[in-house]
Amino acid sequence: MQIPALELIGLSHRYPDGTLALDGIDLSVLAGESVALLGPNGAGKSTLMLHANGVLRPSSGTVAVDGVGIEDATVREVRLRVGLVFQDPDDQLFMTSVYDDVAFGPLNMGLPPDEADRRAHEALHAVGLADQASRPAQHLSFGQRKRIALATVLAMDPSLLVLDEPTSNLDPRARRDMIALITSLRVTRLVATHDMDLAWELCERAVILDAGRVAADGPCKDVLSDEALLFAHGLETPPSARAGRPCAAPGTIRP
Amino acid sequence: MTGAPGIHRHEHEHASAVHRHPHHHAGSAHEHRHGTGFEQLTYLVSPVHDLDPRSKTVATIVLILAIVLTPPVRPFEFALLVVMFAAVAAISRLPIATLFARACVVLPVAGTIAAFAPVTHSGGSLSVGGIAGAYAGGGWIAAWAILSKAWLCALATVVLSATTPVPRLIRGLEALRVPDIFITLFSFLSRYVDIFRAQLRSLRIALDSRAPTMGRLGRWRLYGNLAGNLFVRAYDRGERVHAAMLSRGFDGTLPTAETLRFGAGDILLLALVAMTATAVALY
Repeated sequence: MQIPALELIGLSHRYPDGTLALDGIDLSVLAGESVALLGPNGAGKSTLMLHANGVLRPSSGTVAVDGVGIEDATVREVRLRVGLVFQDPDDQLFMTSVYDDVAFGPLNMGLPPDEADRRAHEALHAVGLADQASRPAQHLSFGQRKRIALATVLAMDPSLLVLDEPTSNLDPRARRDMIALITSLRVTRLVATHDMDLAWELCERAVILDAGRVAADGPCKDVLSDEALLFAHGLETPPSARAGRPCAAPGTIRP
Repeated sequence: MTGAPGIHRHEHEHASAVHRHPHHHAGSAHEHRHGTGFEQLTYLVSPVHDLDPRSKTVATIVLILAIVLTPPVRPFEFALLVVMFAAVAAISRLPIATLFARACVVLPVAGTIAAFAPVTHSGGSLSVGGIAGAYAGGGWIAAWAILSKAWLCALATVVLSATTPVPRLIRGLEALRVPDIFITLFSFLSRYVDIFRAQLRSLRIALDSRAPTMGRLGRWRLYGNLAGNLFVRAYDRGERVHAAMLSRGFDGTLPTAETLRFGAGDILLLALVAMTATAVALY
């Protein structure tokens, strides 16, 4: 049996103020899958993503990455495998130059400076912003900062990419570029989004989260065509589906 | 290492200024974007820019101590120091007027303190001949001392920050064994001050749009709410940034790729500054 890239079993999380954000989540993402995580605001998507690399710990249940359970002893190792990209790039970019930010992860992994430099260089190329290396992040456009945030994680060569709203607040061209960029990455991914078209184009499987529970889990082309289901959970059919454009096919990522 | 793939430093000239910074090397072409505003000055090429950030930082601190801890500067001494800073600016190919103007930001703060000097000197001069009277004379000298010293010290730090890119400055402080916590604080300050300024601006614009007729007093009262709002958002952001740092393996230090080299020029700078400081102290 294949070991899942990410496996959540009976995952519940209660915040200190008493809010039950996740309520018994069972979810596994296999290597090579591209999974959309959908749901209304406050459904628990961000809370779930912060569990994927142990920033938040379950109140009950377990989280495992590549078969390794997240505990104090393993959390650092797990963070090397899971690349978490935050919704607001200003939360993710905290160094004084773009280059230092992209090299931050590799240097923290303890890689020698030459190797960290090579990784940073490749990641900056992958997102097409190598020419911005010496600038401070605050002088870049929002779309560029989103791409750099992705590069900071790519430089760590993760086996699982967890993306929080990769296209939010982007103009149409920056959004298209971002989708093309993510499509070009051959990495298993879990994408939380409200951009229904993004889910349709990028993901073969869709999971709907509502009030901290999994409300639906299945192939994108089935889940995202079920108008009644989507409406019940505050979502809507992607325009691409209505226009009859094809959904992402399974197995497009070769890990 | 020109020609090899990777991020390089290189020099290039356009208009009249020569710039240098790490950049990307694409085949035979050099591609890069330049910084804007004051930050761009730090990428100029000059003997002063080339100096080790450690020696520049130490030199700045020594000069500031010499200026602050000695009797009020005399006009001639003041003129000499201004000429010296102007000379450093010229060697650094920096616009002298810009530096002088930028140092003036401390004057409102220093001016507030200086304004009290003539009034409070000699146990309150107002009762004996007013602020133009003989008793206030010492106070006027104190006021001049406060203003001139504040401006000179600001000028010293402006020259330092105009000749040293922030990442190098931070690397220098690190090498001078400044505790990690201060390094982290300083890096974050330089990164997030612009973001908070932008947030404050949008809060004020939103306030102006929603309450265009509100009087000044009501507005001042609301600034308390804005400050509270900013504080809470800063706190939340702090938590999210920390989560993002942990996700990339943060363990308490901020690694940078900057390397430092202490050379003959740095020894010369420290010797010159030591002599200047002695002269200021003894004159």
